[in-house]
Amino acid sequence: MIDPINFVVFSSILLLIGAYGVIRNKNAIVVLMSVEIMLTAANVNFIAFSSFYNDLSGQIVALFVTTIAAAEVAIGLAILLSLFKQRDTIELDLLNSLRW
Amino acid sequence: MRYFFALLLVILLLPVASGEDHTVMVGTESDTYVFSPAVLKISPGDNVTFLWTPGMPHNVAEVENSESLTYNDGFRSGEPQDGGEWALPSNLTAEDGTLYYVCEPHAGMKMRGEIIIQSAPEIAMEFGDFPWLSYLLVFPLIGALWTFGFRENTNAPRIIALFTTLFTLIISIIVFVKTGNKSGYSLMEQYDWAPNFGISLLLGVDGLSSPMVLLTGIIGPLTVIFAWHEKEKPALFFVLLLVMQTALFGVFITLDYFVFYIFWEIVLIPMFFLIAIWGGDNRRYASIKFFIYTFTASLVMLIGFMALYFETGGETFSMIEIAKQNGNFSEDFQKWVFAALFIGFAVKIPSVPWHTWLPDAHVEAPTAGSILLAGVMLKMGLYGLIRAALPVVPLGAEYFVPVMVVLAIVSILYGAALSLGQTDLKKLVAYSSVSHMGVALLGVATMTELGLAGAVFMMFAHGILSPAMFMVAGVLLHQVGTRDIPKLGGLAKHQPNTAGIFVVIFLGSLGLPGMAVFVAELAVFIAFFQSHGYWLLLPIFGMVLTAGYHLWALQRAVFGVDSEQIDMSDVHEAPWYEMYPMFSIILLAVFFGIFPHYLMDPISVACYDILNFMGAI
Amino acid sequence: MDDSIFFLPEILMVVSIIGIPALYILTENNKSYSICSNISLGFAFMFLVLSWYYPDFLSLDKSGLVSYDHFRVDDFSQLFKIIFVLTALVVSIVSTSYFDDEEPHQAEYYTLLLSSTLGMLVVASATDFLTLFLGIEISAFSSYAMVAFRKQDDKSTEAGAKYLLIGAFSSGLTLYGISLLYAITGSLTFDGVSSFMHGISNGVVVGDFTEVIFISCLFIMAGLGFKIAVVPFHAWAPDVYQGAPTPVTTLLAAASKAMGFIAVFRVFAFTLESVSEEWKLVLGIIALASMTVGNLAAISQKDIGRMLAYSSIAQAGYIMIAIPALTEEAMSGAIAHTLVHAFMKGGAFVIVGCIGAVGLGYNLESYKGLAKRSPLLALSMTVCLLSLVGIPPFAGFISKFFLFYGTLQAGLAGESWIIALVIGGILNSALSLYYYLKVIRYMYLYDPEDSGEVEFPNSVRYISFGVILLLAVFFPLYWESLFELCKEASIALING
Repeated sequence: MIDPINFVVFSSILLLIGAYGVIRNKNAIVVLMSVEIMLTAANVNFIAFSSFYNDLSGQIVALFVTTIAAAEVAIGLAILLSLFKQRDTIELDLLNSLRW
Repeated sequence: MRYFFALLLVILLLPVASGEDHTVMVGTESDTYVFSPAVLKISPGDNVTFLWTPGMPHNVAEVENSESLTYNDGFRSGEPQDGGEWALPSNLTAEDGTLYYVCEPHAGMKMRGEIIIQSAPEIAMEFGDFPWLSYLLVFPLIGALWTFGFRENTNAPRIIALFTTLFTLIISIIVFVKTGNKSGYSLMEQYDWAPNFGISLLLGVDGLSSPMVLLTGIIGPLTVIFAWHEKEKPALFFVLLLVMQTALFGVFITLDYFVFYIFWEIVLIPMFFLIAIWGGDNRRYASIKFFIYTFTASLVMLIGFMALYFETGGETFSMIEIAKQNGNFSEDFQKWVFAALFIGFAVKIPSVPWHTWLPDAHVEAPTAGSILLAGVMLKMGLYGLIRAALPVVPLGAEYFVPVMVVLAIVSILYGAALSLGQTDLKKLVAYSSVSHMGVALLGVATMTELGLAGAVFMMFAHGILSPAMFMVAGVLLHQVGTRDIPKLGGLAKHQPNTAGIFVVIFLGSLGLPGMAVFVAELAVFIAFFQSHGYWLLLPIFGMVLTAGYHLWALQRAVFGVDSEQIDMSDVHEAPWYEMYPMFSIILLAVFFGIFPHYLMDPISVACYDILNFMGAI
Repeated sequence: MDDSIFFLPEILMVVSIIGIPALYILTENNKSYSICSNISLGFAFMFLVLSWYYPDFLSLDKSGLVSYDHFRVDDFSQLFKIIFVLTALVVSIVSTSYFDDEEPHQAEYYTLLLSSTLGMLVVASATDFLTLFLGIEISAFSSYAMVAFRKQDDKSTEAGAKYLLIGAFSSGLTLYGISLLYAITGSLTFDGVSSFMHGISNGVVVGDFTEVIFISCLFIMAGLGFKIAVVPFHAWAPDVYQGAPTPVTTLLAAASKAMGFIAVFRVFAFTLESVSEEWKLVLGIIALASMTVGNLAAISQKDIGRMLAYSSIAQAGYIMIAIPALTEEAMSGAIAHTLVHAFMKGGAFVIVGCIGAVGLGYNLESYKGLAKRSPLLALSMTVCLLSLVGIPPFAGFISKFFLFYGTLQAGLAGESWIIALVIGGILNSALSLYYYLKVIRYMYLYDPEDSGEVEFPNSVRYISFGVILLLAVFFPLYWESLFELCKEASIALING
C-alpha cells in the first residue's frame, strides 16, 4: 500500500503546473488545457482516496468530472472559435476592449 | 384594542413589586480603603448589603453629610470587623434621600461612601381615544396621491395641496390644544410593526413635540400659498412638499428609535429633489452635498441607536423604555453614545463646523424649499438632541456640555460675522440661521429648565421668522429680479406696503422686544448667565452683530436712494399669494411675542420632565 | 401524495429544455420559444410558491417530506428556488423585447436560459459536494454560452471568453478543495463532512488536520469567490457585466450571484461550521476588502454596467460579513439581503437593458434626462439605487439593517473584531451613496442630450412598476414576514 501522502504530493504538483499554465500562458487554448490539468489533479485525489477508504463515491466524482471537463472544452472551443473568427487571434493579452 | 392599551398602561405604570438587591464592597482587592461603589444609586425599597473583603478591619457608620467624619447615631454595622457581611436596615431605604457613611477607623483616609435613594420619575402615558396622530401622518400622504392623480390639470394640484395642508393645520392645532400643559405623553397610539425586534409605530406628543407639530402644520399652507404660481412641474412640486410634511410629522411624533430613524431619512429624499429640480444654477452640487453630508451623519446616529438598543438587551426600540434604563449605562458608554448621536444631530442643527452644507442648500433651493428647510428641517436636529439623546445618556450629555457651549458660541459669532459679509440676501439669511440655531444649542447646553425651554421656544420662533426672511428674498427675486443687496436700494418708495412688511420681519428676526425671537433669546441668555456667568458677553456680542447685519441689509436694500442697476418702473407691490403668508407670519410672531405663555407653558413642563428624568433637577 | 411532486420545477425545466429544440424543428416562429420558456418558468414559480407556502391549496403534505441522499427540499432551498425561477422569468420576459424578431439563435438562447436555471435549482437543493459542483457547472456552462451569445458582437464574445476561462479556472480550484476535503474525511455529503469536522473539534477524531482544512477552505473560497465576485477574485465581473447582453447580465447579477452564495452558505455556514476558526478571519478580510474596493472602484466608472458590477462586488462584501458571525440572526440577515439584492440589481439591470435596447447606450451620460423620457423607469431606477445604498424606507435598508443587526449581535456576544466589519459596512454605505446619486442626478437634473422620441417596451414598464411596488411598498410593510421566511431558511440551513 502506498502512503496516501504521495498522492496528495503528486496531485498538488499537477495542480501547481496547471495553475502556472493558466496564469502564465497567453494562448487561450493552452489555458484551457491547463485547466484540464487542474481538474485531473483533483481527479487523482478522488480516485486515490476512493481506493484508500474503499468508498466508491470518489470514483463516481472522477467520472463526472471527466464528463464535465469534456463539456467545458466543447463550450470553450466554441467560444474561442467565434472569438478567432472576429479577431484572427486568441491571444489573451489582446482581449482588452473591455477596460476602464 | 382599547383594553390592550389599558392593560399595557397598567403594566408600564405598575411599580416594581419587590426591591432590587445591591451590594457594596467594603475594601477591594486593589485598594483596601474604599467602598465600591462609593456612590450607589438605588430606588426606594431596594436592599443594600455590605460585603467585607477579608484583610482589613472596617465598619460602616452613618455621618451627617458629605464633609462630616464623625458618627451621628444613625445606622452602624458595629465594631470594625474583618470579612462577613451586613445588611442595611430596609426602613432606611424606603424613602428618597441620601445616606452618607464612613469607615470609622479610616475616616481620616477619606474612606467614605454614599447611597442615593431616588424614585424613578414616572412618565405619564395617556393613550388617545381618537387617532389624531395617525391622521397627521396619513392625510398629507393621501393628499400627495390625490395631487399626483390630477397632475395634468393646472389648478387642481395647488388647490388640493392647499386644502390638504389647511386640513393638517387644523389637526395639528387640535393636537397642540389637546396636549395642553400636561406632563408626560398624550394622545399615544401604538401599532405593532415587528414585535420580534421590539419595533412598533409608537406615537405620542408632549410639550416638546406639540409646538413642533404646530410649527409644521403652520408652515405647510404658507409654503403652498407662496408657491402658488410655480410653473415647472407644479404637481410634482406639491407632491414632494406633502411627502416631506408627512415625514416631518413622523419625526416629531414618533417615540421609537427605529421609526424615528426611518422618518429622519425619508425627509432627505423629497428635499433632495426639491433642491435638485427647482433649485438655482448650482443646484446639482448643492443637492448632492446636502444628501451626502446629512446621510453620513445620520448613519453615525444609527450606530448610536443600535448601541442603545443592544445595551438594553435588544428587546425594544421604544425611547421611553430605553430611557427608563439609563441608570444601568456606564459613563464611558454614555459618552460614546452621546458623541455619536450628537454628530448626527449637530449636522442637522447645523452647528459649526458641520454647517457648510446649509448655505449651499439654501442658496440653491427654491423659496418654498428654503422655507421648509429653515422652518422645520433645521429643528429636527435640536429636537432629536432633546428628545432622543438627553434623557437616555444624561451623563454623556453633561460630559459634553463644555463642547456644546463652545460650539454654540462659535456658531453664534461665526454665523453672525459671516452674515455681515454676505451680499446675497439668501446667503445672509442662511448664515443667520446658523447663528440663531447656535443660540438654541446654547440653551440646551445650559441644562436648565429655562435654558431648554428657551431653546425650544427659539426653535419655534426661528421656525416662523426665518421662513419669512426667505420669503423676503423670494419676493425680491421675483419682483425685482435680484437678491444682491448692493444692487438693491430705494424699494420703499416703489412698494411701500411690501417694504413695511420687510422691515417688520427683519426687526422680528433680529430680536425686537414684543416679537417671538426676543422671548427665546432672553430666556436662553438668563439661563446661560445663571449657569456660566459672564461668558454671556460673548453671545451678547453675537447679538450686537446680528442687529448690525439685519439693519445694515435693511438700510441698503429697502431704503436709501434708488438703485441704478435695476429698472424701478417694474417694481410694484408683491402679489397676494406672497403678501398673505408674510403677513400671517408677522401676526404669529407678534402674538407669541406678547403672549409667550401659550407656548412656554407646555414647553417648560416637558423640559422639566426631561431634566427631572436626567436627574439634573 | 408522492414526494416526487416536489421535483416538478426541475422536471418542468428538463421538459422545456428538450421541448424548445423540438419547437425549433417544428416552427420558425421566434415568439414560440419565449412563450414556451415563459410558460414553464411561470408555472414552476406558481408551483413553488403554492406547494411550499400554501400546501393546503394543492392538498400537499410537506410535513412528512424526506430528504434524499443527495437532494433535499427544505425552507432554505425552496426560498431560493423561488428567487431563481422568478429572476429567470423576468429575464425571459425582458429578452423578448431586448432581442429583435430577426435575432438569430433564439431557440438556443431560451434553452440555455432554462438549463442555467435548472443548474441553480440543483444547487439550491444539493446536499453533497458532487451535486453542488454539478449544479454550479450546469448553470455556469449555460451562462458562458449566453454571455458569448451574440457572435457578431465583439464585446459579447470577448466577455464570454473571459468568463469561460476564469470560470473554468475557479471550478478547478473548487474541485481541488473538495478533493482535499474528501481526502481527509472520506465523505462527500455535507452531513458526513460536517460530522467529521465536529469529531475533530470534539476530539473524537484523532490527528491534526488544521493545515489541510485551512488549505482546502482557501481553495473552495477562491473557487466560490469567483462565482460571487468578491475581492480579490472579482476582476472578471465588470468586464462580463459590461460585455454580455443585458438580460444575461441581469441573470448573472441577480440569480447567479445568489447561487454562489447558496454554495458559500451551505459549505461554510453548515458543513465547515465546527472548524470556523480556520476560515473566519479570511472571510472577514475578504468581506471588508470587497466592499471597500468595490465602492471605491465604482466611483470612477463611466459605464453603467461596470458601475453596477462594482456595486455588486461591494454588496457581496456586505453579505459576506454575516458568515463569520455564524448565528441564526446573522445568517437570516444575509439570506434576506441576498434575496433583496437579487430584486434590486435585477430591477436596475432590467432598466439598463431597456435603455440600451432602445438605442440610448450604456454610458452614464445616456441616463441624462431619463425622468423626462419616462418618469416610471426613472422612478424605478431611483428606488433600486436608493435601495442599494440602504436608505429607508426601501427594502434595501430593511435587509441591510437585518444583516448588520444580526452580525452586530454576534459580534457583541462573541468576537469583537466582527463589530469592526459592521462598522466598515456602515461607513461603506455612506461612501456608496456618491456614485448611486450620480445616476439619479443624471436622470432628474439634466435634459436629454437628443430630443428624439423613444418608445419603451411595455413589458419593461410593468416589471419596473412591479419592482417599485415590491421594494418601496411591499417589503417595507411586511418585512416581519419576509424576515420570518429568512429565519426559517437559516434554521433549515444551520441545523442541516
